[in-house]
Amino acid sequence: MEQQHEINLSKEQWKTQQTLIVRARNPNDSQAWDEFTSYYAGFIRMVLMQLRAPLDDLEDLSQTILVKLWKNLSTVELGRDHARFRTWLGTVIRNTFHTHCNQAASRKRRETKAAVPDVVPPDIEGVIESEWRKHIIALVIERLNASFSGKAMKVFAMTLDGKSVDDIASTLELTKDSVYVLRNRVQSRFRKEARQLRSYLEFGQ
Amino acid sequence: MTEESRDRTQALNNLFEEAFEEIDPVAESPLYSQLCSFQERYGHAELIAVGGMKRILKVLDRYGNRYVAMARLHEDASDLLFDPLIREARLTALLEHPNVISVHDVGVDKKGQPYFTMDLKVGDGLDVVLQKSLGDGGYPLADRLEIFLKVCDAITYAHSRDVIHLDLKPANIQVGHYGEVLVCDWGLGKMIGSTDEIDDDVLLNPDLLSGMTVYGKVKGTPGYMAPEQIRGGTRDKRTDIYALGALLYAVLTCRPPLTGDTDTMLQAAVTGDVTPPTKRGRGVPESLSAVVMKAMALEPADRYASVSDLIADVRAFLGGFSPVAHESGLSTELMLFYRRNRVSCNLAAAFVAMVVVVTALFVERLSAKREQAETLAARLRVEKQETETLAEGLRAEKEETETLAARLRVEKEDSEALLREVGRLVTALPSDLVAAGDQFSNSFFHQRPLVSYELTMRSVNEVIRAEPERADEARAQLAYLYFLSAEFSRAKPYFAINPERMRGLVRVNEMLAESFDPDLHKTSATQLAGIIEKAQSMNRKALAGKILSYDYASLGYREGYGLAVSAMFGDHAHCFTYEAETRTLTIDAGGESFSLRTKDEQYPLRFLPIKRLILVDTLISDCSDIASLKMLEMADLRGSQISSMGDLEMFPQLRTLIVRPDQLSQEERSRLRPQVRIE
Repeated sequence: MEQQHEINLSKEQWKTQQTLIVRARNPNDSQAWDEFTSYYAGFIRMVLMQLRAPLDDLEDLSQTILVKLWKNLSTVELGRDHARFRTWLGTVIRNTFHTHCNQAASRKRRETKAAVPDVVPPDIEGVIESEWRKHIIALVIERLNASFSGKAMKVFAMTLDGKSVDDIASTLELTKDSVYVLRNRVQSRFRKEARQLRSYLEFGQ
Repeated sequence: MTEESRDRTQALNNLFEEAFEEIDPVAESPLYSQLCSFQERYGHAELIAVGGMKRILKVLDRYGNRYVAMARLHEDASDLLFDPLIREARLTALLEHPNVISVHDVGVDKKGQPYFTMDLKVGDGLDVVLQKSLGDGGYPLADRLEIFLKVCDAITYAHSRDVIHLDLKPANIQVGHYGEVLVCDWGLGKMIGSTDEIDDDVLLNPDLLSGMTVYGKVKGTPGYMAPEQIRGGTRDKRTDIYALGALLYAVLTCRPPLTGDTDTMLQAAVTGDVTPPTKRGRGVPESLSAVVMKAMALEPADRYASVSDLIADVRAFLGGFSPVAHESGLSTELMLFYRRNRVSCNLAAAFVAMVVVVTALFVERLSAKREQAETLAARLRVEKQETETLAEGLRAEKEETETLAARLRVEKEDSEALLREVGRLVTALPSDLVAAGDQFSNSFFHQRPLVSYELTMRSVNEVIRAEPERADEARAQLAYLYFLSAEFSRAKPYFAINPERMRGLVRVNEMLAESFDPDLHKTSATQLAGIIEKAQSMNRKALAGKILSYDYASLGYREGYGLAVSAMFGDHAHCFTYEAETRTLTIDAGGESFSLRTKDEQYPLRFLPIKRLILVDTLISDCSDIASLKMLEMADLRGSQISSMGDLEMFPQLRTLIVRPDQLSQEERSRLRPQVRIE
């Protein structure tokens, strides 16, 4: 009995919660690819900026990375672990960036015939990690803004600024209980949205 | 994000990380984790009862987190008993009824031993309950019957599922504190017509059962077991009905239906030798006793056909009707009717009693009223007579009143005259005040001396105030007025204003003012006589009359007044002699002729209380001369020329008249006679 029930549940999950990555791996789902691009293009640009990629090359580089992703997404092996896609993404960005840097360095060497040191890339994993986090947080805030009242968001913002519940209550003319309720509601929604977004954007299966 | 403060970024990061922290399943859902962690469902076993085949343990059901009862075989039980245990569990599990104990779980433990769990009994067994009721403080009969009916409900239900219990007895019935009644121990129960019945031998084999007592070869409990069960005959629903009858027996009497040792009891059961409950306990209703006897009939065919029939009869009793089993008489039915409709009957009785009482009271009140009415009638008769007397009196009074009215009319005319006088006074002040002194008519002054005096005083003062050019005249008038009231000292300054006008009086006044002071002592009659004499001697007769009138009105009659009155007659004063003790006035005119009336038509004699009048040698011929003597009782008219008394109303007190023999005409005598003695 129990066993049956479990299987049913996971099937349901499969059907309704297909992640963006899974959909984008289907080369015929152009809509999924567009969505993928909208989510990741900005992120990739941000990462490249953090990596101090020359501004002139920014567009080219991000385009190159997206093309690479698109080409390989359907064939790359992604585990169930949500870290896998981002690991792969990071690898693609890093390799592309490296290649670009090396090409640029050798071109310079060729052109200037001078010794140009290899660009030592900064901590690329760290950059990707922190940029990804910023990216997700921004998206979550966007979603929260869409679904909560101004007052709830004000409570949330003031909480983030480290204001005490008493302060918030008196500033916004709310009871302390209301402040608690609004704060907890937005915070838990924040967590939920963050989890959902990440699994939607990162899970390969 | 860039413009957000560092703090905010940090807070958001923290929140973000929280979202992906490893969630501790125990913290998230402690109950779930707990449930997952249990190795053993049951624990904390505690032995609570031991039977022939099985043991009952109180165990903690960790899954449900509650205590339940667990039935297990004895440790060393034969495998042959595995199936009977499971069969009992399944049979009980089949019965889902609030009054049947529930089986929660049937299983096999790790050692391969079968078990089942069921409700943990609360409260007491019915046997204990009945034992308590036997003493004081237990359940009353009505409550015990409720318990019994719940057992019946359970058995009705079981019978509807074709299950018979076959071991009904008080010990197998659990009674909770809140009306819960559970029929337990369905170990001997069976499905009617089922073939999977386990051989009785298995259950009765002493080798299989741990050394517990079993009642011979019999499954069940003597006293509650039907004869056919003892004999080993066919057992069906009626076997349970017998047991229910026995149970009802115990419920009614709080004692088991049969007594003695096992064999005796079995013998009694088989022969149907059951003592009726009425003979075993006090206060056992006869009708219910009949129900018991019918349910415990020896022959199954004689018993109730179904438990519902039995229930119907018990309910009939509880509802106040006689059960079918009880062939009741009229008196019983009436009694039951009363019990059923106790409130209505009591009300009706109370109402009837009230009607009787009210009627009795009413009748009594009525007779009292009649007596009252008679008394009243008698009193009314008396009163009527009284009223008639009174009416007569009233008529007389009416006549009197009319007389009085006539008199009042006369008086009214007088008053009108007075008013006219006053009006004249107030509206027209006399032009010559000094000459007047009598600006009011003399008759008015003599009638109302004080009023008249006061009015004059006021008008004079008014003139002084309002007409300064006539003030001196008015002041001279004051002199006259003060003289009149014998206030000579006060008069003195006013006389001084115009001494010529009243020369004579000025002197007299001065003299009198020195001789006495009326403020210190009232004018005596003698002094008054002196003043009058003086006035007479000055030929001021009118003044003398007014002085007397004023004096009499203000000070009244006093000793020696006769002199003052006599002085009024001037030269003839010596003719008058008044004796105050006898109130006798003697007038000895000595043949001279003078009138008792003054010039002002005044009768000075009216100021004397004269009861007796003696006229000596007078020429008085008209009784009107003495008309003012209202108190006159006796008159000696021999010294007068009076020949008629005129109107006798003038002399209301007159009783005796002394006359000369020829003085009165025969006519006059006869007229006077009824009232007056004539000598």
